[in-house]
Amino acid sequence: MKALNVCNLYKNYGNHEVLKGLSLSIDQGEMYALMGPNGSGKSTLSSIIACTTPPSKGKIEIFGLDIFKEPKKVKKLIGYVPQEKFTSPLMTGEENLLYFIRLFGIPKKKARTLTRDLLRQMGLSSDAKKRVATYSGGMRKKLEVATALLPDVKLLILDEPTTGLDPATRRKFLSLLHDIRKDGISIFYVTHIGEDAEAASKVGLIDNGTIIIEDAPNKLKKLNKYNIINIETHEMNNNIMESIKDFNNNHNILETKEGYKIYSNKPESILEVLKEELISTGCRITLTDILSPTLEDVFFCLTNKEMR
Amino acid sequence: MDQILASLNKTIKEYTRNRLSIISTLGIPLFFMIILPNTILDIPDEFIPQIKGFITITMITLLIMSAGQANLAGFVAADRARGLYRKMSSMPVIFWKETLGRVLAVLIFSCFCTLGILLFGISLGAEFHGKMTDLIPIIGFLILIGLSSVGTGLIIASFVKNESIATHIGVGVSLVIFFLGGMAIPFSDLPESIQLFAKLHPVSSATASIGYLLIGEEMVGYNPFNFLQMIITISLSFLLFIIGKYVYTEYCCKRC
Repeated sequence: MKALNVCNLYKNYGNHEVLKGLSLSIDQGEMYALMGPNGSGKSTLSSIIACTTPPSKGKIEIFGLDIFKEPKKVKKLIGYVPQEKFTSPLMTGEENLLYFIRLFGIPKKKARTLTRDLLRQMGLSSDAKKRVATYSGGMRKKLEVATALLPDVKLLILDEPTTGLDPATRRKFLSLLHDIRKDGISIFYVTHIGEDAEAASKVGLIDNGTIIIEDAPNKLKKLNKYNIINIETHEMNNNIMESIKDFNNNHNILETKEGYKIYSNKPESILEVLKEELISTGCRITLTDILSPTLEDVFFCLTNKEMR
Repeated sequence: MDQILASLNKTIKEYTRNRLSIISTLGIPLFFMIILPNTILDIPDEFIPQIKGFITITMITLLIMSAGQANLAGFVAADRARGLYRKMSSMPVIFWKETLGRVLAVLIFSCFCTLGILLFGISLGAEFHGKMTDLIPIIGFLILIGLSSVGTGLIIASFVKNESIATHIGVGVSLVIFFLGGMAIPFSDLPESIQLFAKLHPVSSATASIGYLLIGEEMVGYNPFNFLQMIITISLSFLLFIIGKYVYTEYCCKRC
């Protein structure tokens, strides 16, 4: 039985079609990252799976239960962490967690024990009595994940869980997700950060309301036949861009903050020539490098769109 | 029961920990109770305790309106902006239980603040002439004020998504009712059309009824105890509450 099975899902907001016949499935115990740029429909999909937004058309099953026919049963199986900071800043971490556990319908005594256990699991025991207003972004996110890890929850749904976290906290947070997965909980999360998506066992790339490709992150990167020439320059202007385009008109070129990324299947053979070409046009190069593709690069090569 | 208690506990904590809520529900009424009696000139001394008594009653109404209309609206709007309702929609939450918890929290919080204001009023020299048998109708009228205020607060919160704007609208509505309802300005000094509003609005009508029972007709300005006004007061209080509950469920809970 699949943990999640989404079949031919559509969602319209007026005339705007956000999801266009999207289908995906997650095996039990799998950690699935849905990666796409802003406006691609990933948050809409997560809110539909979490039973908070109705779709226009389509079918979703969670552990074999149709979420539209049996929402009460389904809601006991899912733990949803929306993008917003939904915990109350006026209450302590412990009080917030206890509130959500009791909203779930768990009696007070059992709820108190569970609160203590979850706070320990999240490494928040020492901060349990502090008001959430004093928590760091990472602590608050851990607390919010704890609100979703209630008994019977088998599928954790997270919407952009690492947004606003610094790189070190992000890595710790993703390792926490791995620990949760080891407990047998399937995880579905949406992100626009390639590094975060790489932590998953399976990644789906979404663009314009449909999944364009899905596979294990390493396989996705190997599918990409291009490597990347990374050129960082003192200045960036149209002349440099035009020179690169003239030189490399068969391949994708991406303007970055520091310079340019040129996608090529033979990067070593053209790098030196390209450098000379750019220097001859007066371009001051600060760094050249050949990089392996990231998931963002895979997405760019497939869609010619940046992951923002 | 767990969901009702969870919602009740959370709301009570927010009321007691939010400075703005404490200032508006307790601070402002206490301030007016000290200031207002000193601003009234040319009144014989024997009437001062009754005036202080009436001011205490109107301040109790102001605090209930503040808790129900302004603070509740602000808290709900903040929870909505924070995505709490989206989170709750994904959980097996029964929304009438969540609402009931919030309503009970407003009533309990208002009840404690009412006791505080009442004791403070008495310590300042406020006098009341009610009988013990009046206690039940007085509690009933206080509940009606609470229900109408909560209803209005839920309506505001359902349509206003910003915490600050929702609170300010709630304060504005409370002040309009306070000034046009014969609480800040004596009923007899109000124009006839406004007197009709004061008689029809459940909050001002219930306040007048409490004032009539505890102080007397000369302070209230009229006798609110007639069949038609009582029916209207009770019906409109429940109607406001039911409408508030309905729009809250539809616009806050379901369309999150």
